[in-house]
This record gives sequence, structure tokens and C-alpha cells, in this order.
Amino acid sequence: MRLMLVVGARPQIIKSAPIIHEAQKHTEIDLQLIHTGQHYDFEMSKIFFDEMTLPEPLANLGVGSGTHAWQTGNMMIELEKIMTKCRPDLVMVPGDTNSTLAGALVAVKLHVPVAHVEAGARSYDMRMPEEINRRLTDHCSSLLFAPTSNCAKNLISEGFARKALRVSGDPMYDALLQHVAAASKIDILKKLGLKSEEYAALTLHRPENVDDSRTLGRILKAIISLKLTTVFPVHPRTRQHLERTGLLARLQENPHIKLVDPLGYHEMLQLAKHSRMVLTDSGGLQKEALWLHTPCITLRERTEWIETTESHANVLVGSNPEKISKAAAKIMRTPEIKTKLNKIKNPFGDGHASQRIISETLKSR
Amino acid sequence: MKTIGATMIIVGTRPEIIKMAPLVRSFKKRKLPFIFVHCGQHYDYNMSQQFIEELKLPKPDFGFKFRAQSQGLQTARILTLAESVVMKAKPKSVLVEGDTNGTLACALATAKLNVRVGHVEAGLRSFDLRMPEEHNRRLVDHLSTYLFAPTEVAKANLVKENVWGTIRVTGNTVIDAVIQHVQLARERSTIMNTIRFKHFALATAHRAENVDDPAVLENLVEAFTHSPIPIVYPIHPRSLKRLRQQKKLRKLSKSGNVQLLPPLGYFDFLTLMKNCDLIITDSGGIQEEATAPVIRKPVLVTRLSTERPEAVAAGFAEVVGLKSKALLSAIERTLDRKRKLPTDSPYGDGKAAEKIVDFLVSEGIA
Repeated sequence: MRLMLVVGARPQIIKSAPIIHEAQKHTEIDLQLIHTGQHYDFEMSKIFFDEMTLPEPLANLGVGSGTHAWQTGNMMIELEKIMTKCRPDLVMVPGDTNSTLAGALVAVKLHVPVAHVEAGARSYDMRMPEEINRRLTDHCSSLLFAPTSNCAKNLISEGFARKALRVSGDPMYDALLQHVAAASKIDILKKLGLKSEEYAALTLHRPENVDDSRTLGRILKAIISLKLTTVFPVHPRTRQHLERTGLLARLQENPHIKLVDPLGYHEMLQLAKHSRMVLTDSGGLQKEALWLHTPCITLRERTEWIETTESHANVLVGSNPEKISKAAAKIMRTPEIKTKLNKIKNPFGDGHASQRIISETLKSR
Repeated sequence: MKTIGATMIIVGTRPEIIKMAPLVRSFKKRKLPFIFVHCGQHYDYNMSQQFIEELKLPKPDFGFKFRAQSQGLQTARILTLAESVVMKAKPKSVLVEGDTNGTLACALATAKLNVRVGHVEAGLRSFDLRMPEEHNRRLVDHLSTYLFAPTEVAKANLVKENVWGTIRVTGNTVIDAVIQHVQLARERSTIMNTIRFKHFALATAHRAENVDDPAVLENLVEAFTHSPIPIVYPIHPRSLKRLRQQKKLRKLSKSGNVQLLPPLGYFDFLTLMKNCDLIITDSGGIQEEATAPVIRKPVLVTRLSTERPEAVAAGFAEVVGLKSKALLSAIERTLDRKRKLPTDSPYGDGKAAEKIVDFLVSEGIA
């Protein structure tokens, strides 16, 4: 079976890694790995390829960043060429990025079946471009791998036939289990002079948080006033805005805010695992925090991973400073919180999602 | 009128131009600001411009003239063009129609800019996922803030898929279009001067599986030459070629019962629809148009199924299949029928466009 897997953004590489390794165990699978080049520079995602010992992609389309339609359109042009040439039997697309949607749209127009990994996640906030990508990719797919039963429920409510759905678990959780041991050997804490449980980890990259200087300033002010050592790996997009608005200088005046370059997967796992709390607007990190038993404060109004909030491991605060400080204070005065989070049942599967995804894909032929 | 905060109306193919025409006219009549965009391929650009003029619609404010050989490339090109035009014109909402690649690309580019998409003719489903249109329709429905469903059946499809936007059953603007365009056709078409018969059935075959299939064509020739009512048949060039190869063309053209015509323009076709006794077709759109009060003709559908169940349920259409015997007996049955056709169309009362504009005004976006 010629299985084409389309990736682009960094989180997609993480969730694809266990699937790629699983596919490599099957001689009947001819894996065609395509990198769209969605993420700024290949270097930024190359570290992930190395850490996760992934094969070189068959092609790197080098599309780069741009407006949504421009990026999606240019990916489609290149993907159509490569799909016409490589004639895959099935195109697998993980996640919810423009690469995901471009892969699904091109495949469906060429009458190639589409399998969506991470199907059925819904934030019900259509202002998020990812929500559009997810929904449309699901509706292009004939094989839908839902990470949780809640995601499957969402799909059923949109009229999908049960026979097209598989509750597979989340391959991102597979990846975490496979890498958490290697991550523990990373000395990122020592490197940054941190003590376990005595700092927070912060990531910010979503347009609604970083594009508007007032919102960005409000969030950062609230975080500075937590008076807690905070490690902030700065996404290139966020850095641009920080520099432009002069907020970068303000952060640098506060020695307890540690600005660092974007981290590799292992470093990020280690950092999140030992932090007192995670503050983020990313989708993947909300789940990773849950799996690492670290409380999470999500700087968004809504989440597609509603499962993480049901157990109170994750709270949604948007960009509201009072909510941010209240949520952080609550975590600070609950020393046993990590032990509590340890006992939460994980709704994202058993760490064998990638095996299920590959075996069901083979059966679908 | 071009102001920021106007409604953008996008058309591409000819059916889209026809079905959006009543909306454009309604915006114009009410003096509501709108931006009219034509997204067409370079090769039919001039023809579309001419058609837009014939319908007495304003000249489009923006036109995309792109070249694309493949479906993916086509979608990609329109995506980029639509994005730039929406960014430039900053409309409050964008109205798209139907189920083409252009419809999808315009809707996707718009939604990603956080501008509201209104889908005219939302909720149609053939449930045949081999058709690219089926994907396009479904995806556009899931992108749209406003879904203008032509019928309750269409609405039920949308409810079943739990679409995110607001659904309104407005009727199909195709009925508005027929009512408005029959007027224009009366002024412009002289086709009736060339028709040899006083009473006739109007026949068409458009679908690839019919125009190219020798067995289907043979059955049509058999039925048309023996029909109890003469047949007027604007013939598709591919069917013509195929019949010539099969040596059946002579039988058809020499038959006193059949008048062959070249492919017709919109106004000539409307005029024939208005003046015939009965329609034999495989087209979905004609099944709808035939129910308009100004046309109101029985339709025999030369297909095995139809995605227009409403026309069948209302008594306008009958699915007769592709065999000459079945078609002949259906023609006889229809001519003998005493029961009158309903006065109302199941696709609306001809005020679909007005209802859509009323809704947009009430939402404060037009």
C-alpha cells in the first residue's frame, strides 16, 4: 500500500512520528512522507526529525508562511503534482493545520481516499482557522481516527457513518510515552538554572493573543505580576510582535521571566513535566500537560480538547488578567495538585493509537 | 455602490450567474451596497461577461481571469484571488452559490479572513461522494455563517450534519430567476418562429453518462421517432457525433416527428420551456425550473434517480429510466393525464432572493 503522510507544522511531526515508526514495521506499506514546509524554516522542524529519528521526507515542498489562502493554495498546487506522480492509495493527514486541509482537499479531488488523524476535535469557535481546517478535513475523509470517544461523538453529531470512525486514541500520547524517558536525560533545568516545581512554563503564538498589542501586553503584565519564575520559549511569530510593540524590552527588565529560543521536543517535555504550571495557548501542550500531571492554564476562550478541562487539570482563562492570576494562585496554594492529577483517567487512549491507526488503515483497503 | 461593509456577491459558472441574478437585482433595487465579483476561467470570461450583460446585470466590480488545467490548481488559484479581493474590498459578508470548485475556494478564503459566508442553495445532497460537487457543497455548508436552504429537505440535511451556521429556508432563487428572465426572453428570443410544431415535447440530454452512451442514445432515438407528440431536441454536440458514428442520425433528422436544434442560449431555451407541453430531461436544474409558475410543465426524468425529490413528490417530475418503452408509455400517460399540475412550485414562491436580503438586513449586515 502506498501511504502518503502529509506533515508541515511541528506538532504534526510529533503526532506523526509513532505512526511513521509503526508503518516502517510493515513491509507491505510504502510510506511516502511529504513535508509541506509550512513552518517558517525547515531547521525549526528538523530538530524534531532528528530527535524522533524520522526518515528524510520524500519531498519538502518549501511553501513557507503567508496568508491562509495563499499558503493553502500553494500547498495544493505542489501537493497535486506530487500526488499525481506518486499515486498514493491513501493520503493520511494529521491535525488541523493548513497542510492538513491542503492534503485532504487535493486528495479528495483526485479521488484518493483520505484518513484524518485527530478527527472530531471541536472548539466550536469558527474564528479559529484550525477549527475550519479540522471540520473540512473531517468532511473530506472516509476514514476518521478520533483520539477520544468525545471526538467520535462530535463526528456522529455531524452525520458521519459509524463505520467510517475509529476511536484510536491519540498518537501524540504514544509519542509522549515513547520519549518521556529520553527527555528526562535532558538537563534543560540545569541549563536554565531552574528548580523542579518552582517555575512556570509559558508559550504564546495564537494570532488572537499576539497580533493585538493590547491583548499581548495584558497577558504578559498578568504573568509578570505572578512573581513566579517563568520560562518563555518565544515562537518566531510572537518575537516579531514583541519587538514591534516594545514589549520585549519590558519582559527583559524582569529577571524572573526567562526568554529562550523555541525548544526541541525533549526539552519541552522535560520543562513541562517539572514546571509548577503550564500557561499556554497551544492545543497540543494542553494535552501534554495533562499527561505529565502538570496543571494547565489555557490562554484561550475555548478549547478543542474539552476533555482536559473536565478533570479540572486545565482551566480556560482567555486573556483576562484577573482570571490568570486567580487560576495561578489556586495552583500555588494546592501543593498536592500533581498527586491529584496523577489519578485522573486519561481519555486519550492507552499509548497504542499508532498501531491501531496503521492496522485499521491496512484493513480499509 | 462600493463602500466598506458592503455585501460581496460572487458568481462563476453560468448557473451561478442565473441563480444569483435575482439577488443582485434585489440589492440594486433596495439601494443596498454590494460588490459584484465574477470568478471565471480565462477561456469563458468574455462569454460570461456577455451573459451578465444580457441579463441586464451590472458589470462586475472584480473579475478573475485565471488559467488552470487541474481541479487542484483551479481551487488554489481562486483561493488566492478571492482572498486578495476580500482583503481589498472588506465586505461585511460574502454570498456564494452552489457547489463548484470556485464556490468552495471563495468560501474558504473568506471564512479564513473571519468574514461571514452566506451559502445560497445550501443543503443539497446527492450522497454520491464520487462527484466533486458533493464534496464542494458539503464543505461550503460547513464553512458558512448563513445557510440559505431552498427546501425543508435541504434544511433537514443540514440539521443532520449539525452545521455551525444559521439555517433559513428561503426557496430556491432559480424560481425567482425564471420568473424574471421569462420577461427578458419574451423580448429577446425569436426561437418560436423556427419551431415546426404547435404542440411539442422539449427534450435535452446533458449528463456525460447519457450523451456518450450508445445504448442510451439508441433508446432515445427509438422513443423520439415513435412519440405520440413531436419532439424538439436541442442536441449536445457529443451526442450528435456519437449518433453519426452509430448511423442513427439520419433516422432522427429525417423523422417528421423530431426537430433537431443546435445547442441553445438561455433565453431561447426558456422560451421553449414556456411553450412546450412536456419536458424530457436528465438535468437537475431543468427539473427545478419547470416547476416555476410561469413554466409549470410536467417533466420526465431520463435517469435512474434524482436529487430533486421535491419535484417528484409535488407531481411535476417522474423518474422514467432510460428505456424507450418506459419513456413512451410515460409520454402517453402524461399527455392523457387529466389531473392538473400544482400551481405552486416546491422550490419556492419566487421570492427567495427577497427573503435572503430581508434576512441579511434584519441581521444588520446588509
